[in-house]
This record gives sequence, C-alpha cells and structure tokens, in this order.
Amino acid sequence: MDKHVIMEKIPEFAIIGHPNEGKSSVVSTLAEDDTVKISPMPGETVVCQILPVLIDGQEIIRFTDTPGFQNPRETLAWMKNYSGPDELLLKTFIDTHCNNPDFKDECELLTPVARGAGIIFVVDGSRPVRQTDRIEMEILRMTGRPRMSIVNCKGNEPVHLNQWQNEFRKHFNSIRQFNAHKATWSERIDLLESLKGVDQDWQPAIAMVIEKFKEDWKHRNRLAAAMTTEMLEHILTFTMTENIGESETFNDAKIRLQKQFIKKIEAMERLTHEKIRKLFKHNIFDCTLPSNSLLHEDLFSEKTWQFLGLSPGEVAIAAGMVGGATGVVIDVIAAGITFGVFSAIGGILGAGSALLSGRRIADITFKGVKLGKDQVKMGPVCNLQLMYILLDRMMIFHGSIINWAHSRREIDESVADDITANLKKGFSSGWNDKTKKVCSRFFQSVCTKSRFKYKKQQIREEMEQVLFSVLEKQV
Amino acid sequence: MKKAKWTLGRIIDFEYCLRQDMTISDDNYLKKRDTEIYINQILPSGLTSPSEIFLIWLESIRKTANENPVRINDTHRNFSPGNMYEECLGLLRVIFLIAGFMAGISVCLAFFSYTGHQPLNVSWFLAITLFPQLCLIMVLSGFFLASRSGFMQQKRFVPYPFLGFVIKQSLMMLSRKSLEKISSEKIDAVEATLAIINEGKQVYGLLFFWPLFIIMQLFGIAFNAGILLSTISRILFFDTAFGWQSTLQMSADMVYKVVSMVAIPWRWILPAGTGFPDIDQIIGSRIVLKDGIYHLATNDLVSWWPFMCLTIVFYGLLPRIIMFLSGLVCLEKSLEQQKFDHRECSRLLRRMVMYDAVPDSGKQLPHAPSIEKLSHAPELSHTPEQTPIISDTTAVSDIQAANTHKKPSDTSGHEAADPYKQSSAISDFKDASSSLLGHIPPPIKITPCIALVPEDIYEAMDKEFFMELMKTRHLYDVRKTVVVGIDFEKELEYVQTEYATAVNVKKTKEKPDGFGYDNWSVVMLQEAWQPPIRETLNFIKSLRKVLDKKTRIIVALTGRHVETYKEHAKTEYTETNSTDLNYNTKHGSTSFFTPVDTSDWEIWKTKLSTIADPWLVMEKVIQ
Ligand SMILES: Nc1nc2c(ncn2[C@@H]2O[C@H](COP(=O)(O)OP(=O)(O)OP(=O)(O)O)[C@@H](O)[C@H]2O)c(=O)[nH]1
Ligand SMILES: [Mg+2]
Repeated sequence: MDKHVIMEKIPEFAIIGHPNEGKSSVVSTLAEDDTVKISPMPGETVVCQILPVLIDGQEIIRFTDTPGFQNPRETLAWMKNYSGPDELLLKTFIDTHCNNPDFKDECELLTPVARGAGIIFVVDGSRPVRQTDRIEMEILRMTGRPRMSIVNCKGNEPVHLNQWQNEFRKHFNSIRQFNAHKATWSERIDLLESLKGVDQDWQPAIAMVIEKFKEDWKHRNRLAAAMTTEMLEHILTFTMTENIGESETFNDAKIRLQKQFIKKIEAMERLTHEKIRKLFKHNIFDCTLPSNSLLHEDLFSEKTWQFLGLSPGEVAIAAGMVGGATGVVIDVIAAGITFGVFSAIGGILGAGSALLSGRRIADITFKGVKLGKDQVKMGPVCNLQLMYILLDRMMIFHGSIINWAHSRREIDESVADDITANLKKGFSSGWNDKTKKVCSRFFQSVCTKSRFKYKKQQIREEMEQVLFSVLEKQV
Repeated sequence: MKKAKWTLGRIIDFEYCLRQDMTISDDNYLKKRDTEIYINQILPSGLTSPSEIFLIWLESIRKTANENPVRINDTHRNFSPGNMYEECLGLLRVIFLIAGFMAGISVCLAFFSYTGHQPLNVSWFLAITLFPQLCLIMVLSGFFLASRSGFMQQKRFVPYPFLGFVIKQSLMMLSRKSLEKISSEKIDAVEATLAIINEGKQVYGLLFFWPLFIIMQLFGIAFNAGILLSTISRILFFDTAFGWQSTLQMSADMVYKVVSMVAIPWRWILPAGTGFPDIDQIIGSRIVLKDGIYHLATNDLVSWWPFMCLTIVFYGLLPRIIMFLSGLVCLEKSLEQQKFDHRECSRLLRRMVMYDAVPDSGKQLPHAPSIEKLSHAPELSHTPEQTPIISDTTAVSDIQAANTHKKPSDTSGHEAADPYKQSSAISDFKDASSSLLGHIPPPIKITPCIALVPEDIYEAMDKEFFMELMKTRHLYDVRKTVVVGIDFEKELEYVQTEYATAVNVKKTKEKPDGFGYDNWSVVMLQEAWQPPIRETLNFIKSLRKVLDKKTRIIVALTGRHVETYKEHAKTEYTETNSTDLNYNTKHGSTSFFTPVDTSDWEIWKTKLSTIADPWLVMEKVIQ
C-alpha cells in the first residue's frame, strides 16, 4: 500500500528563494549531487533543474533547483490583482508572462510549484530581512502550497536568525536551520523529518523516504567495511618477486623492489578510497588534501608512522592478544626504541625478518648462455602496525567523505586542520576491546596459512561486521 | 604655444587611456598621478572647462608614456590608437580620392568607346553619369533624415557599416605592418579603438560618423572630377559631336524646356546658346537614325558640350563639395560641443581634484575657507577616522611635495590660488553649508542631487551623516530625499516631478554655464550585499527615462549594516573588550555605513554594466 503511494506520486520539493542565498547549495547537499552549479555570482541558476534521489535505481523523492526571484514586486502586484480561481493563479501567471523577459525567472521558478511541488524557501540567516524578502514570502503564501523555510547561514553566524524567525512564523508551516555547506547526514535526515510536518498528505511518503535513506546509508557503510576488509587482506598478503638484473647488485635490486612494493601498496589503498568516495557520490571532492595534512603524506613516511596506529603499549597488548607471531613488535619494545625504527618500511625490511629473501637459482649455463636468474622477493608485510595504520587512514577518509556536503566545492584550511587533529587522535586506539580482539584475530587469520577456509571466511565476516559498526558510529 | 585642440585621434586616445585606467585596480596610484597632473599642469594654466582640462591631462599622460614607456598592468601606454586611427583615415581619404577619380574616368571611357563614331547621345551620357549619383544622394539624405528623426538606427545607415568594416580592416593591416613585436596588444588596442567608435555613439553622437561621411564626399568629388576631366579631354582632343535622340515622342520644344530648366543655376551668366543649346541648336542636333548624321550642322552638334559639363559641375560636383564642406564643419562643431561629462570623465575629474577636500590643504590655499568650518558637521569631528576625506593622506603629502617643489616661492602660491577665486564665484551655492567646500576648484563643484533611499534602511541609517558624507566625500548636496521600495511606479513619478521642478528652478534662477557638471543628479543608495536583481536594473532604466539622458545617476553602495553585531558584542564582550564595543556602537548606530565588500562591488559592476548607460556611476559611500 505504502509502496503505491510512492510509485504514484513522488514527493517533489522546489527550493526557492532570493538569488545567491544558497538554493543550489541546499539542493546539492540534499540530493547528494555535486554536479549542481554553484557560484558566487547571483543569477547563476537560470532554469529549473530536477534532482531525483535514486535508491536502488528507483526515484523516491525529487528536489528542484530554481532560479532566484528577479522581479518580485511586479509579480506580487499582479497576483494581488488576480481575481480568478485560486487554483489557477500560478497557471494563469505563467501563461500570461511566459514570453515576457522581465518575468522569465519568476515563470521558471513557479513552474514546479504550479505542478504541485512543495516549497522550501531558502534564506541567508547572516543578513537582515528586507522588504524584498517579505514580498517573496507573500508570493509564496499566495501560491497556497505547503512550504517550509530554511535558514542557510552563509556567514559564520546566524546573526539575524531571530528577525528571520519572526518573519517566517507568519508565512511558513515549518522552520529549520540548515547549513548547506556543513550539513551532515544526520542533519539531512532531520531536515527530511521536518518535511513531514509541512504537509499531512506527504507524511507516509516522506517517512518511507527517510526509511530508505537510512537503509541506503547502512548499505553504503556495509560496502565500505567489506571493501576495507578486502583491502587489508590484499595488502597484508601482498608479495612481489623481481629478477635481479645482469649488472645489478643484490642491494640495488632490493632498493628498486622496495620502491615498487611501496607504490603498489599505496595504489591498493588509493583504489579502495576511490571506491568509497564513489559510494558516497562524491565526484569533485577528493581527499587530495593540502600538503600539511598527514593523510596526504606518504603511507610509509616517518610522520605517518609516528602519528598513526597504536601507542607502543597498545601494540604490545594487541600483540599479546594475538599471541605469538609478534616477534617484531616485541623486539622493538624490548629495545625501548620508539616508532622511529619503523620510520619506513625499509626499516622492517632491514630488520632481517622473513620479509625479504634472496634466492639464488642454480647458475646453469648451457653453451655459454646463462639460464638461471637471481631473484629477490618481498613481502608479505604481515605487520599488525601496518594494519592499524590502514584502518586509521580509512576511518579518517570515511569521516571526511561523509561529512563533506556535496555543495561544498572548495577545500579550505579548516578541513586540513580537522584531519590533522583526527590523525593525532588515532581512531583505532579508542576502539573497545572486543573490536580490537576481532581485528587481531583477523590479522592472525590473514597472516597465517590456515587450511580451514571456512574458518577464515567466518573471521572475515566478523571483521566486516566490526568495521561496519565502527563506521556507523562515525559522524 | 599654439592652442591644442581636440581631434578625433585625441578623443580616441583619451577614451583609450580611460579604459586602461579602468583596468588598474590601484586607486591610490591613479589618484596620485592625476592629482599631480592637476596641481602641476592644469592649475597653473588656469583653464577650467572639462574639455580643456582633459586635453592637458591627456597630453601629460601621453608625454610621460612616451618618455618612459612602462608597462602598467600589462598594457603599453606609449601607444596611440588615435594616431593610428587618424593615419588610417588619411590613407582611406587618399584611396577613396583615387578610386573615385578612376571610377569617374572609367565610366566615361566606357561610355565613349561604346558610342564610337556616332555623335554622343547627351541624354544617355547624363543618364549614366549623373542620374545614379542624384538617386544616391536622394536615397542617402532620405536615410539620413530618417535616422536623425529616429525612424531608423544610425548604424543601419547603408554604406557606413561597410566603411566601418573597411576601417577595421585597414586598422588591422596598419597595426600589423607597423609593429609586429607587440602585436597582440596592438590588436587589443585596435579592438579597443573599434569599441570606442562603436560604443561611443551614446556619448559622442555622430562624431565618429562625420569622417566616414567626409570620405564618401571625397569619393563623390573625385568621381565627378574624373567625369569632367575625361569629358573635357575628349572634347579637346577628339572631334566630338553631341546629339540627342529619344525613343519617346518628344518634341524639340519639350527638350528645350527641360534643358533650360536644368540650366537654371547658370542660365543667368551663360544664357541659351552658350551655357546651353538654344531651340535651333536642339532641333539641329536631333539624331534621327534613318536619316544618318550627315544633315546635322557641326555648330549645332558642338553646342551641347558646355551644357553637359556644367550639368556635371552643378549637379554632381558642387553638391558633393557642399556636403564635403558641411561635413567638415559638422565634425568641427561636433568636436567643440563635446562635454566630456560621462562616467569615466567625471571619475577622472574627481580623482584630480578630490585631494582638495583634505583639511590640511587649507593651509596651502589662502583663499579657501578655513577648515574649522567643518565643525558644522558634528559627526565628522566625532569620528575623524571615518571621515573619508582624509582617506588619502599619502597622495596628499606627495602632492604637497610636488607643489612646493615646483613653486618654492611664497608669492606664487597666490597665483596658484587665483583659479579658486574664480571658482568660488562660479560655484556659488547660497546656502551656508556649501561654502564649507567653496574652495573646491572648477569645474568640480558641489552639485545638487535627489537621493533615493530604500525604505528598509531609511529608518536605520543616520541621515545627517549620509548627507554629510555625500557632500564632503562625493560633492553631492542632497536637497531632497525620496524613500523608495514600496511602489516603484509612484516613486518614479514623484522623482520625476521633483526633478522637473528642481531643474526648472535651476534653469530660471541660476545661469547655466554649459559644463554639464552642475546639473542635478540622482543618488540611489543601495546595500551592496543585496544582489542587484532585474527589478533593480529595471528601476534604474525607468529612472533614466524620467530624467534627462545625461543626468548623472549615482548608485551609492554601502556594506553590511553592523548594528546587530553591536548587540552581539554587547552581550558577549561586555567587560572584556570595552574599546571594541565603543567602536562598534559608534559606527554601528551612528553611521550605519560600512565599506563595500570587493566581491559585492564586482557583482554590481558586472550587473550594472549590462545597462550600458555612460551617465550611470557607481560610488562607495565609504571607502
Ligand atoms: N560559507 C557558505 N557559503 C555558502 C553557503 N551556501 C551557499 N554559499 C555560497 O553562496 C554562493 C551562492 O550559492 P548558490 O547555491 O549558487 O546560490 P543560489 O541561491 O543557487 O544562487 P542563484 O542560482 O544565483 O540564484 C556561493 O558562492 C556559495 O558558495 C553556506 O552554507 N556557507
Ligand atoms: Mg542556483
């Protein structure tokens, strides 16, 4: 029954307002569409743009971006003089003025309202109310459509919020503060919740939309968790073998391979991040952050190792939980050396563990031609520390992706600062014991050759589940 | 020193320089430069009309540019598109003269060779040489009248778009030939020149039309001269007989009537028989094909040629010469009549003289009223840091330095002050407050204006302070304030009547001095952060319709009102930051006005430029 409601009439909301108040920004954030054109020049949007929200390929709600009012006074004057039936007001207005260039924008922006869209009126709360705004509100009131207002604060503070709210009370069923550039997912859901109050008829449909939104969000996080788990498996078990060139010493080959190895690992991580980015529908925003951000730094650079992952003590505890297979970690702690030892993967490689092996294939010469080759093999870097680093980085990436409003197009300093702060904190260090235990078990399962495929699969699912709940908690 | 005069080239250079200045964002640089020119060159010359002042300014700018060709904002200053334009016109003149002459000769030659050994048929000759010309003149004058009376746009004036195209091409060619190194800038300059010519119509009227007109007349003159010359040489060097022949049944009598009518202009000196054939000669020179030509008397056959030549002279050559001369006169007159009062001109003028509103300069100008009179305005003394008139102290001290450098002696100071005396005589507004700035030099004076204030801010703003600002900073004396924003139509009507009465009062009581700077203007106060929507632009357009075409409309922009911040500040920093609070309260509540955001300014600039009104000016209420 409910399904039919949605199928028959998809709720549509037209985002309306004065030019340059951030209508396109609101739409972009609400519909998670970063292709919507946003510009500091007023009058950027000139035609309506319908942005359907698709979930599982099915349209469940649509937001319509509209141009700003350009000629409100005359429009209102005409409407006040109109004497026909109320329900034809908009249609008559549009029919009368569609060829008049002075009313081009008004006709355009009232078209979705005329076909039954609800109204979301957007104003900038950091500026005072002016006569023009009152006129625009009056026009919207005269349309008789259900409407709510959004105070989108372009400045830093909603200085004039009270003034706006007083004005709004006269004209709108519902008022909300919504910062287009900063709104998070939960704020978006809140906004949808308040759309319910705008019109009784839409309540079930919008409740449904919210339900779908929530489901969809869960789904994305689940996928992200799975992607991360897969990435960890790949990276932790990754090995590389290279032939040593004719005139190359073993050491040169080692260094060459090391570089390639690091590059490969980085690429694997980036690929996963990219997939997560697409999952959250970001085409423009990318975590190519300013260089002072740690996330942007080399995965294996000293800084990264220093800042990410667990503290030495925690590593020891984690290692203890794993039990065995902790040679390297224990070594370090015993030596009382800080993380500096791990400043690069070269450090690990140089530690003389089983990571690196040169194998001399018997030098068989057949009629003077060398048949055998020296080979150098690297990996797997089965290192608990590395796993936690990758997890932390993923958390940071995920955190900034989900909090990045689709309307926000330029990356400023504050983002970088946020990320640096997060890096220092280290997400994984705050996880509870159970989570950490699962991680350690997963690590162990990946790093040891186990014959029990079934068990491996189970541990993997556990890991995904744990990661999912961690991601869900991220705000 | 011979008196410099405006020429087309100078005007193009002038506009070009103004355009270049528009691209320079460093206000202080411009202000310093222009003030220096004013102090050092214009003041000593004692000239007061904008046209003369700008001429000196232009010469000076060009001179410095030639002496040290610097790149300012990536544009070459020592480059004169005006010279190029004049060169190009000169070239075109020669080309059209030659072309006209050749065309005249070749038409004649073609005709003569076609008719061969028969006597020349006079009517055919005239039909070919004169008739098209006469038609052309008729058509053109028809067009001209139509365009003058507004039936048709001037740019549709048939041959002139073509000529414009030719000019463009030849300008391009010239510029390419003369300097290839900086060709891209040259091309830019050529484009700028063309734009100046194209867009200048609103400001300069027919000014740039006259050279084209003159060139066309040159062509006509040369064409007729060519015809005349080849006809005469034909007569001189060949035995040429003329006759007439008509397929229409025309009696000789009739022909005589027509001929004598055509000959009216010269009939009184050269009567029938000499200036034009008499009836017998006409009968004698009739060609009847079946009879052959042998019966025709040579005397009669020859009697036609003076008539032919005179016809060409009087109906082809003379009108062209008259048009040519009148073209020259019109061009001259048009040059003389230029008022130089459009937006960029007034901006330049202000830049040159605004230093004078600085209190300190009172010392320098002995005849100026002392600055103590500023105490009329309490706000000014309360908030000196906000008073915009001292915004540019560095420029002023430089100017003072320049001035003392130039005229070290004390006595010369009095000389320099002479123009001021003159000025206070010219710009004498009777009311007391305007004497405050009575020492502002000509041709700038405080001009009366009507202020349009949106009702949203009318209550909130400090009206006194606004008026004071307008007067001291912008030299507009707000005589009338109209609150707008409720019903545009009514308000426009009101402005119209107010303006009409104001202008009428002015016309009757004050003698007009023809500068165009003392007209009434209309100041429209706007908050810059409000995006200019179509409604605003339409309002400005309709405002223009109710005012004169050249009345200045000033859009005065102010920034975001800070009063609410003040309240904020009160609650948040009551104890901690009392000085800040004071600052806020004072500025928030007493002045209302704040500086305009640069991005807002740009937005307004872009939007207002779509109106393309040269007498629409943008100002910042507070810098
Ligand atoms: N800081 C900040 N800026 C915002 C916010 N919302 C919008 N802006 C800026 O305001 C400007 C206008 O935003 P748009 O979304 O294009 O406004 P619009 O209402 O669609 O404008 P038109 O299409 O011209 O009518 C852009 O420069 C945005 O970056 C916000 O929440 N915070
Ligand atoms: Mg938009």
